[in-house]
Amino acid sequence: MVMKRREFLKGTAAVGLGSVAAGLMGKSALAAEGTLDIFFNSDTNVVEFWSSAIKPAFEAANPGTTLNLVSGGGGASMNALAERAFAALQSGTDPQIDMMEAIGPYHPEGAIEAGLWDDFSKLSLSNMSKVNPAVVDNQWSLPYRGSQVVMMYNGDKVPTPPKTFEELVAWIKANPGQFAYARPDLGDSGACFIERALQEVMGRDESLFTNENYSDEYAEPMFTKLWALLNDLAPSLYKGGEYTGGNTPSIQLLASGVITMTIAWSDMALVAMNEGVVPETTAVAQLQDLAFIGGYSSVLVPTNAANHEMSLKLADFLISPEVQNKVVSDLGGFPSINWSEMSPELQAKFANVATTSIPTFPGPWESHLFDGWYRNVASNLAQG
Amino acid sequence: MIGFIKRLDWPGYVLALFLVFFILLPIVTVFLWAFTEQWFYPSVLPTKWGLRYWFKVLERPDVWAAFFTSVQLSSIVTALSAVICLPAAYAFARMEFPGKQFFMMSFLMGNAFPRFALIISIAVLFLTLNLVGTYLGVVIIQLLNTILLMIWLPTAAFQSVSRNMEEAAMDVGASPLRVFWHITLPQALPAIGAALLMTFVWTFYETEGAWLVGAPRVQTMPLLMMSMINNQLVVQYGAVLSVALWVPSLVALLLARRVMGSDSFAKGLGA
Amino acid sequence: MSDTLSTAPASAPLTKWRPTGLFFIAAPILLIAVFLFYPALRSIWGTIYVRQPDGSYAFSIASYLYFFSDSYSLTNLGRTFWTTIVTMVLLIAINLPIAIYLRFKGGRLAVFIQVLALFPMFVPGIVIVYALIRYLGPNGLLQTLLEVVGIGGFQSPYLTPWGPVIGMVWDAMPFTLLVLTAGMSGIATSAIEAAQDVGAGRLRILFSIILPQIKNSLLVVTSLNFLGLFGQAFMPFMLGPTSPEMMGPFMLRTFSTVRDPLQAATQATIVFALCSVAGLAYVRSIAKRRAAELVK
Repeated sequence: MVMKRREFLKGTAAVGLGSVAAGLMGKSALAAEGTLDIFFNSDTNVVEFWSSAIKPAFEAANPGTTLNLVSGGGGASMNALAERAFAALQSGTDPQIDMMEAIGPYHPEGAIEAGLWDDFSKLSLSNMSKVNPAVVDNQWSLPYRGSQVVMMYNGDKVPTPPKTFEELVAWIKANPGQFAYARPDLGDSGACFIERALQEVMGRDESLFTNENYSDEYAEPMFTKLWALLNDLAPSLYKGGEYTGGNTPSIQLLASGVITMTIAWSDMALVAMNEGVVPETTAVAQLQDLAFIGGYSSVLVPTNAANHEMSLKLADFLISPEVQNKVVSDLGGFPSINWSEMSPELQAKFANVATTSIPTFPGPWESHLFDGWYRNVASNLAQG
Repeated sequence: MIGFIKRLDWPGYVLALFLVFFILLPIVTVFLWAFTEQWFYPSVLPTKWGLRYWFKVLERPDVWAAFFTSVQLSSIVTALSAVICLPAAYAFARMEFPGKQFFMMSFLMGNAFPRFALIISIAVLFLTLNLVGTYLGVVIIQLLNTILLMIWLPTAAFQSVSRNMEEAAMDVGASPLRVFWHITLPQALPAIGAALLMTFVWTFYETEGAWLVGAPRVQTMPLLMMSMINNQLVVQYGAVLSVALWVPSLVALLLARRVMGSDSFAKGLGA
Repeated sequence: MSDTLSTAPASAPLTKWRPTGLFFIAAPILLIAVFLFYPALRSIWGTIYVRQPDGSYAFSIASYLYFFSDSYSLTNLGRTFWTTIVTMVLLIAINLPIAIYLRFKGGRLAVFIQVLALFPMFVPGIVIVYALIRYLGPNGLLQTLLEVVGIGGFQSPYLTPWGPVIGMVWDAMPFTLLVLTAGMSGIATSAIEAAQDVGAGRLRILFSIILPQIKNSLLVVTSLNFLGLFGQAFMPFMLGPTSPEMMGPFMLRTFSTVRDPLQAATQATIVFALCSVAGLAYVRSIAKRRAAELVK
């Protein structure tokens, strides 16, 4: 059995043939012709953005095509679908998945080697040249919107929010039990916090962390410093060192008034404030010395998608200035293409604030960082 | 009747009080939420009431479609499960055949292996059989989840049926089928009823299999619920859907008691 | 009661070897074998026949050695055992009295108790988790209510080891109660009355009449609950502390965040082995019972 799997991995050429064959053999009766099944990991506000801003325009430009926007059920559900796409590749069948939003290409293991995801660096999308190279994390993910992580706090109790990371640490220590961040593997806002802390202990030098340079020896001394900082912080956190189970629980703790400040995604924070989930005095702020790590959401296109050509056309449409302008104006996000490609009005409006990109953190570091955090930071509270 | 509980019903009040705090109040929390627009500490009741989320949920056309899909799926799965599992359960309880203990164990072992490690292999199987995105595919994967319960519970019930009574009936000349129908089955019925009820409800709320095999073509109620609650700060959507589903559930539960009255099925529900 | 069995040989008519038995169990066995057993065996095989750095495959139990020498993994396993056992004990301690009460008592209060105890069945996990956070959580409804009547100092179980215990008791309660009441329905009222007539106390009735009669039900509930609780991922994620983790969240994290499928499969196999022990206990006790019945 194991041998069989190795044969699968032999080369992408055979896999490509397989998907062609699957296309020729025809799909099951249910796989509707011309319907692109797109699965979302992002929040519902993003799905709504797609259905109001992207779907009508794309369908009008491509008669006969329908976008079926399917809201996923969180990370585990999306992983299950990615595994289904991989399984379809192995068996040469139609995965009934044409595009996946906001997940990484590294899951399932071996998918990249087997050629499950389209490699955008090898494709010639007409808008590819406009994409800001600084926001591309890997060649399989096509970034189309950026969002940042902010401090979300109760404005009644915090009249002047911290401006630097140092001030934030001082505030946390001065207000024990009033701050909480999420576990780094659950919902990313916690991850962005500890990644920012890592940059802090390394003198805010972003160039130290790249996609290629992780090694245990290189990271070890940095991590040691990070664990020291976070463990020093732990007793001043909520419940003397407890961490929430994701973005939503963090905001809910804030909403119920148990804590005064947390770390949240800017778009989620805005939704929470607009929907009245949090008290009206809630506010958000960004660090001024070096912004919190943020991230770009990408789309992945499986090479065995039944409507592969149309999926790529959609991907190309996503990074067109037309959609990117709406990402800024309608969604309140960051564009993934260069500002020079954006509409002149938006360029003028954001001239002062528009950094070229949101600071990001290399994906290959994260698995080591998160596991180390569980073993060195989270487990300390159990013993002490 | 039974003297020791009859005298004073303090055990009843203790149990009821416990359940009020442990079960009822969390349910009330969900219920209040369904009618809440804002609710902040330290207010005991919602700070702002409203039906906004009811309109938002009920105006979606897919809610009703998903509801009927789910009811239909759960009924089919429960019926199929009973058809293939109950004879097996009887065989386990009353017949001898080689490898019996091994087979009995295998149901548990099949379920004991954490599912996440099997997803790829299961997906390959369903894809090669062309079952992904089909109704049949969802039926099969949900059926898998029910087998363990549908075999173990009735097996235990059949085993508890007194062998002596069966033997006695056989002695006076009853055929094996008659014995089964008039002696064995009625005594095992409460447990079988319990198994059927759990199977139906669990299947109704099952999400993992329905998602892996059914998405995006087969949309069940809990999948819809999941997509509405997923990472949602606004918990009202989930609350509204739950409360909307409670009404039929509660009616069904009470109806089962009333209709079946003294029947043993109601005993299975604990009456 | 007929006493024919005492003189019958071991090959009594109802227990003779029957190939029909195999026929009856064929359908569910086939389903399990194809869709669960075969994939599981492949996964287990993959943990002992491992790809080496040079690309070849060889037998190795290194991943198991790592698990059992890694104190972090062992702490997680210990926490899983603690949570599972505490939850199971609580489930029996809560549901056994309810089941006994419902068996011997009718009336409005009984209906109220029964409906409440079975209601969690209709509340999906994701909804109840959020409800419990708002009810039992810090500044939740319970705390507010207690403060209204003047009781302060409420310590929320949210994000403590008791969080998932409460959530899982909630979740597994209807199943446990249904199985216990079903088992209880086989107890003859006359048997208990007779016992009372000869002056047996409540405890004696419980231990010598009720418990032996529902032994099968207790075993089923215990082994199936063990299975369900041991691998739980959702409740511990949402309600439990960050560390130590239960095996469910730990396996998922190892698989998708740490991206170590070999170690995740190893953890899955260990969980599988432990759960199988729970099943083995059940099957053996049945075998014993049958043997005792035949000898009788």
